[in-house]
Formats: sequence, structure tokens, C-alpha cells
Amino acid sequence: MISAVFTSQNLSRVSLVDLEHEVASKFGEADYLMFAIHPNADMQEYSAAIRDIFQTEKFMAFHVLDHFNNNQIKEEVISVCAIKFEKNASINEFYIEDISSKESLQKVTDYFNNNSNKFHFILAGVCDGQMGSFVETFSTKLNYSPIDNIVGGVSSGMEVDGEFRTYQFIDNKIIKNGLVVLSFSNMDTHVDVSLGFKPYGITYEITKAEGNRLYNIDDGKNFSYMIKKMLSGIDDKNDVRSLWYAPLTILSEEDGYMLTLRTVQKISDRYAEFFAPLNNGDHFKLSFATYEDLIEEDEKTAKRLIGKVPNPELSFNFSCIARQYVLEDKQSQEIQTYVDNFNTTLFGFFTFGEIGPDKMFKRLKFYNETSLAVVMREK
Amino acid sequence: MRDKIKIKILKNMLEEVTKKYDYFISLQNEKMKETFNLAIRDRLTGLYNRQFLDEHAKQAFGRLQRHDGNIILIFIDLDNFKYVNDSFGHAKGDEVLKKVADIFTHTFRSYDIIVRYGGDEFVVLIEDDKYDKDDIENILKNFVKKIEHTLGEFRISASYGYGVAPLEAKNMEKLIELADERMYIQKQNRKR
Repeated sequence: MISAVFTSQNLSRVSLVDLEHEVASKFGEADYLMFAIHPNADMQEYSAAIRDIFQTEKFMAFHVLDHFNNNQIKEEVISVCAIKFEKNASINEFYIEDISSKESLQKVTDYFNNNSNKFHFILAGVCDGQMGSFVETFSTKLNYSPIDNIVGGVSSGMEVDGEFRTYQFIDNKIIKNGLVVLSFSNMDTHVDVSLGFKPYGITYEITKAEGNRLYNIDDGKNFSYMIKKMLSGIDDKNDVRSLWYAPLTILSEEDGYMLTLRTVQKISDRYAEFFAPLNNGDHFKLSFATYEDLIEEDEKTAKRLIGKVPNPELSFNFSCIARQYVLEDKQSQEIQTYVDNFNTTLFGFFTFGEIGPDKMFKRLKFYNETSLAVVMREK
Repeated sequence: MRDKIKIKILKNMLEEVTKKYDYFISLQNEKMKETFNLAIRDRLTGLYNRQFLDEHAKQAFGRLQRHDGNIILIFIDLDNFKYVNDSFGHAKGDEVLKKVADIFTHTFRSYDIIVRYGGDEFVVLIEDDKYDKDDIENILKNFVKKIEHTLGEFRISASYGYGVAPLEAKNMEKLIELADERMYIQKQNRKR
């Protein structure tokens, strides 16, 4: 497999033309193209432009605030990852337009269960904060093991002209409330999860949670009161991003290992709202990390990955926007760690939630503040 | 960057974790105390049980070997208790036993070991530097009077016997045997 990432000069149709010229001259004809587009771009307009300019139907596009082309973080531009297979590998497309429809859960479950021999790459929308629940629900219905063949992220976006743009485009359709899956066949792949936050103190039990909202813990204690106290002494108590240094670590019920992270989105008097769902009976610890901790864990993750798939031909990274806050001005160090270890094309995205297996590959989890990396090589 | 925020968050986290640990430890201690009490107390009356008496007696006899002093062991058996159970039912019998326990705790000192030894049998183990036979007799006579007064409607009374170590016995088995024998003699005398 040959792969490369190319980036436009800015967000315009003219730069899209330049991008096509660059791909044609430096890469040649691709079997598949993946476009990362800043949400300032109207998906309808740009997807039509891509089809016209690149003269292909074999592509998908998705919104993302920032993405990276190898070790370069790109903002307000378009990047394209061009893929050409040299042996028998291929990509199949699957998508769900609306995850709230009755049959969507069954469709997704059936698709993954019927294609357990493929590697699936998901790009999803925020879907009013429901994507986390959707992922963790269909995860419980997967009938194969280990679950080590699914990775993905939620498109990062923003409000433009009254709509919150975290869209995908595929098969002439704009997916506003669903997800897109690219399924790779005949590939050696491996996915790994870099958390980096260390859990501290005693374990708490969630006694009242609804969706992404956490009300009570332990014997009915108001969680909102506790988390507000964590902000005491900080000048701007309304800026919950300070709490992104200390997300909740959700623990496995069976053996207590770190299952996933949950990041606070907002705090009211009665509850704290997170970027992903929490369940009654879940156990968690408080955790903390500095950028050094995160990069150290990234390094370990990269080494594990390269041990599984040496000499990869393409790599992807989904890294949470909240994680970038903790990485402070060292965001590029995380990316550089992957580039240095993988020594291949890296196409990465800053996401609003990450989708990947848990540490033991037993279930699929929806993550916050996490960096998920994938390495691939054609068989 | 943002070092002040990070330090503040860490300090607040430490405070929360410390509070949580304190709470957890006090909860654990309470639970341990509860479990310990369940293991050493008689569920109905709240008095100590036989297991506790055995453990406590071992320690008391150990102390007796190291220091001067006395162990006074009193064996008390209720008279007519069977009549309460047979005539008024076991629930009433339980009520009577609770009242007896209450009289016991108001008669002896908080550090004397009052034990429900069997159904209507009780043992009191007293450790004291001095032994005054008259004092003991007075206490026990008053105790019986209180029992008879409080539980007069059931015609309940009590027989007792006691022994003193090391004066009369060198170990717990002998001491109980002695007190039990004396209680039995008193009970027989009262029946005549």
C-alpha cells in the first residue's frame, strides 16, 4: 500500500484545485481518498467540488477542526489522505444516516458481526451527545472476540450559521446525525489506546447518572458539589477546562483496570455533564496528568504498536480536543512521537470523543481525553 | 503554562481524597465495631456471650498471675422462667430476659462482664483488688429484690452462687463449677 497526506493552502475551491494537482503529480491515481475539512466549509458545496475536481466517487469527507498531516497541525484547511493498494486490499463503505432511527442499532451491530474479519475505521457525528451511548450499546451486542478491529472518532466541529457542524460525506450523502465506516480488507492492523492519566485515591460509585449527566455518587452525595470544590481557589471558576487535568477514570467492574476516561463539559447545581455517558453502578477514581505523563504514555503506545505491525504503510491518530488542552503548547510533541516511531504516513484528527477497544479488547469503549493510534500494512 | 491551576487542582484533589479516606476509614471502623459486637454479644439481651467470657477469663486469669487481685464469678439462674414461656409464650419470655438484662446493667459496673450464659442462666465476672463477701451479698440480695419487684407479675426470682479466685479456685473451669454448685444449692434451699 502506498499512502500520503496532502494539505491545501486554505479553505477555498481554488486551493482544492491546487490540491488535486498536487495529488495527481506527486501521488498519481488513488484507490481511495479521505478528506478532512474544516467545519467552516459547507459540506454540500465542498463534497460536490471534490467530485468535480478529483473526478472520483471513491472518497469520503468529514469535518474536523484541526487535523495533522504527519507532524504538522493544520487549521482551517483541507487535507486529503490518498491510498493506493498494491496487493489485494480494499475498502468498503458503510454508513448510518441517523443513529436515532429504530433500526440503526441493529444495522450497525449486524454489519460489524458480519464483517469481523475486516478492520473498521469510524467517523461519527456528535449527534446531540448521543454517540457515546450508541457506541457502548452496540458494543455489548458484538458477538466476536477479541474486539480489536474497530477504531474511530467523533468529528470535531463548531456552530456555523445556526448548525453544529460535525458532518461526514459519503455516497453523495451528507451524514448529519450518524456515522461512516470504512472497512479495510486484507490488511495487517493494530490499534492501541494511550490514556496517560493516573488514577488516585479511593474508588467512588455512581449511584445516579442519566445519559451524560452525573447526579449522585456513593450514598447519595451530590457530585456537582464535589466537583465544584475541585475548582476552588482558581480564578475563573466557570472555566471547566481546568478540570480537564483531572478527568474521571472509569474502572472495569471485573478486574479494576482503567476502562475509559470521562471529561466534564459543564456543571450545574444538580449535576455535572460529561462528553460521554456514565452508568449507574460504574466505579471511578479521580485522575491527573501533566503533558509529560501523556507523552510518556504515547511513547509506550507507539512502541507497542510498532511491535505488532512493524514497518507500517499508513497510520491514523484520533486525539481528543480536551487532551490538547492538557498538552498545552506541546501538542505537536504527541504527534511527533507517533511520526518518529511509525516512520510512515500519519493522518490524524482532533476529535470530540474517541472510539476504540478497551485495554483487554473485550469491549468497544467511547473515550474522552484519549489518543488512539492505528498502524496498517497491506497483507 | 497554567502551573497555578494545576497546583490548585492537585491540592483540591488531595483534600477531597483525604476527606474520602477519613470517611472511608471511619465507616470501616464502625463496621468492624459492629461486627465485633455481633460476635461477642447475645443478640436478644445485648449482654456478652459465652465465647467472650471464655476469652475474657483467659486474660483475667493471666493478669491474676502477674498482679495481686481477685476474680469473683457469680452464677445466676432465674427461678420460674419456664412458667413465663409456657404460660405467656416465648415473645413474653424474651421481654422478661431483656428486663433482666436491664437490671443487670444497672446493678453492676460498666466494666464488669455480664454474660448470658444459657437460656435463663447468667454469669457476672468481676475483677477487683479487694474481695468483701458482705458487699457481694448485699449487691446480689438487692439484685434479686429488683428482679422480684420488676417481674412480680410473672413470679420471677433468681438464685445465685459465686466463687472467688485465686482464693477458692485456680482456673476458670473450677470457678464456674464452684459458683454453679452454690447456685444450685441455693435454688434447692429456696424450693423447700
